[in-house]
Amino acid sequence: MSPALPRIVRLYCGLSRTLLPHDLWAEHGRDMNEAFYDLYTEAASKPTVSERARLIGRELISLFSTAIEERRSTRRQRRHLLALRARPRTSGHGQPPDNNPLSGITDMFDSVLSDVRYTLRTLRKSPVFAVVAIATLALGIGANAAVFSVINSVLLRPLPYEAPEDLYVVWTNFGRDLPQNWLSGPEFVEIRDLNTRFEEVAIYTGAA
Amino acid sequence: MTTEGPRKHLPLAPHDFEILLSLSHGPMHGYATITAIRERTGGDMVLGTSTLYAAVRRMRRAGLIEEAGERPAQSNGPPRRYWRMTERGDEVLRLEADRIRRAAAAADSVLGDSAEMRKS
Repeated sequence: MSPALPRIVRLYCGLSRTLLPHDLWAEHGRDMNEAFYDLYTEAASKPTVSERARLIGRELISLFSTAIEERRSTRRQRRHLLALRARPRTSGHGQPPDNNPLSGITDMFDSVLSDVRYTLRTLRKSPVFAVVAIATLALGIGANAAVFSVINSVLLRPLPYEAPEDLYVVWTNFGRDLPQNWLSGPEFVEIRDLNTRFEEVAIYTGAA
Repeated sequence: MTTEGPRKHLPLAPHDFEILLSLSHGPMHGYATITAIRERTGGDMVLGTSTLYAAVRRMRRAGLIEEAGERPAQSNGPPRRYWRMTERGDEVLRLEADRIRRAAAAADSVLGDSAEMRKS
């Protein structure tokens, strides 16, 4: 590849290194980046940008699906090896029958624990991937919590008064240019004195 | 490399078959393989680079392809790594092509019979 790589090619190199399992990237990372560079150069020579957009979309899908499939395959192989190691040795008459009704549950817990251990080992081996994954989770959870707290306080929870549905805000209307304006002190006094519609009238200020 | 028979690899995944078919013309690097498959299938199969190299690694481990050294790139940059089909790969490719031919003939026969029955 040339020294002045397009930004998208550099991004692809970084992403492939982060997402793909280390062993696959170590064996073929350079080949992948060069093939992507060649494909991008070909797409960039076309007059429309749609070719480049299609290439990038296709490559991202390929990258993510390969990362998931390769990690799943590695996990399957490890699980198979663990199962082979854990198999009890018999005296040539095959495996003894398992009559314990709890063994299914125990197997399930073993499998979950094995998954958790494997995940932690993988995260430790790929610290960049781990940081990206944890930061993405933290940002997602934080953003969700913030949006929910706003929606909850503004839309879902009623105002902290006895009959919040009977509360009204009164504005003054000065025509088309100023249809909704705050009340002045004298206006409030006038409304309070002439009030026949509301049980009570009160005033508040937004000033600190 | 595995010592089991070549039939163990059948049926081949469609993109594995296409990769072997491309390499049957001679050694190729990744970009050339992707464009050869795209052109031969009329754009029906366009492999992503990571899909291609995951398959390359799998087939190399199975002894179906092997590295054929590096050659200078036609565009800029370092030399590209080439891949070629092994004898075992050739054998598997021919068995898979035969299997597909027989499957297609069986499908033709069944579908032809159904068409005849509908006409009559």
